[in-house]
Amino acid sequence: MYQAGTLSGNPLAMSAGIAALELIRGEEVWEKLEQAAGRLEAGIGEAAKRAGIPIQQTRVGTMFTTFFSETQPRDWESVKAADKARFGRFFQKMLENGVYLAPSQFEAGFLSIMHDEAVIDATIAAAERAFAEL
Amino acid sequence: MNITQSISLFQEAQALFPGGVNSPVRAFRAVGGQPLFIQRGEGAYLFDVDGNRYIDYVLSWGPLITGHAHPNVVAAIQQAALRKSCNSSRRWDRCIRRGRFRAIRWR
Repeated sequence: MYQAGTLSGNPLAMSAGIAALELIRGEEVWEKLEQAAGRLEAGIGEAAKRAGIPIQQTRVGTMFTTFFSETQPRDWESVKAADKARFGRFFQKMLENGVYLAPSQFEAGFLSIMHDEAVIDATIAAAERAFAEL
Repeated sequence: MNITQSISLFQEAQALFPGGVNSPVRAFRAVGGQPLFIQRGEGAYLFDVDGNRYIDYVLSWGPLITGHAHPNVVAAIQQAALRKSCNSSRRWDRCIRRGRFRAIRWR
């Protein structure tokens, strides 16, 4: 495979990359990220349940998506079945409640090491209000 | 929520760029509503031009795993900008150092 790029190895990008990698080095960082992501997933799941909104959640580590669907998304057919209009309304309600999700049902969300418990809990509270208004 | 600045900037942008954006998802076509103009990011938060604060789960589609404008990352970029030219042969140091990180098995 031929791989090339004008900005490959760019010193600014390399320096930023090294600084970022230093910050996420170590098991404890990843354990905290996993805990935060798990807390968010569980909180959103419970909030949807309380509101009687059927959702499906997918997550790998810090990468997650909330699908407005009755069936677990496994392939293109089942992913396509998600209610995009309802996701759009959810997206708007989350924005109004101070949470910026990816503006598409078919994009994923991500967490950072700055998403602490208070941030996660504020997000869950926003989801609670958003689900209630859907 | 006051988003008047975002509204007027989007009107202007639509006269300047196709769809008013430089990447399609930013036009909010898939979700409807008014695209927001983000002024700055700090930690887990984004701030739009009207001063509204949002918890960000886009994070530049993943790579901002240290959050927005982490002081260590900002300092590294500033130092590199001060002392490196893009043609410096010293950049190989950095590539190799970063490559070593890749070789570590990440969970």
